[in-house]
Amino acid sequence: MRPPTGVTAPPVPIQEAVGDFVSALVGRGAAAGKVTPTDIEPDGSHVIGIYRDTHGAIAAISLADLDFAAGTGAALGMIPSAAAHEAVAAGELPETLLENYQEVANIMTSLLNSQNSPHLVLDEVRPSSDPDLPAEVWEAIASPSKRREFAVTIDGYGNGRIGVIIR
Amino acid sequence: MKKILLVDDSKTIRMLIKRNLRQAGFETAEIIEAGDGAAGLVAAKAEAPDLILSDWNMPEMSGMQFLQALRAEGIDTTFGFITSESMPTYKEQAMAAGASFLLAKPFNADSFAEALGAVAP
Repeated sequence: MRPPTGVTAPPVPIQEAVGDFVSALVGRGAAAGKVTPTDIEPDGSHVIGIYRDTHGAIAAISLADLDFAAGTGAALGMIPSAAAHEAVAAGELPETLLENYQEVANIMTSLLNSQNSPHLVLDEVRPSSDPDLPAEVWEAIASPSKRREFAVTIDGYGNGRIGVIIR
Repeated sequence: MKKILLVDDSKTIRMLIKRNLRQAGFETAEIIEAGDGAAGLVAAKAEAPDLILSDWNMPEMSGMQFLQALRAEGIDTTFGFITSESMPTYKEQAMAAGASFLLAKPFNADSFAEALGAVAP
């Protein structure tokens, strides 16, 4: 379906915006660089954020590896970085870090909204191993309209990757 | 600014806002917390805060519904949104409904000091 005249697709953030966003969010130095997107598998190695437009359709997806989700979740809540490293080693985020990362993903909507694009809100975040992830998520990952991924370094919390897919 | 009602469904964000309020010079203010607009409405009536800071997107009752309910009940407490909804249309809606400011997430102590400095008595 063609969008109404004047309405564009959600913006795909650039690396400077992602670095500034993470730095402002966690109150620490952060830098982001564009990287080649990684394969996403239903193995729990990523946390998937689902963004819907005002009609309820999935319009964008964020793909955080465990390092990014744990690191930003810990930094946001001023939780020692050791907790993030332990979560990554365990292959799963504990509830506190997942809740904090959900806020990161929620505030990330500010990077995905613009005056001329459909208004998006975060619907939910789920591990990539969740069998109840909507099929559209995997369809979008397999054939994205636009996709960009960033390697992000946060002072004191190490490195991680965050990707964005526009359907 | 003696008493501030802070309404956000995220405990983490409430914690961050409290930290930034302290860093922005509001360390002596009493902070009351609520997890959504409905709980915020109850707290606003019971506690008569000097300032209300509220998220926009929340379960049960959104920040906008909360503000509208306050004004409908004649409660004219200074109200500011703290939200990831940073588009100008949201700011226009907020101001039209009676909010004094809209502070976009992510925020820092400087943005708090600027926003609250303009409305603090």
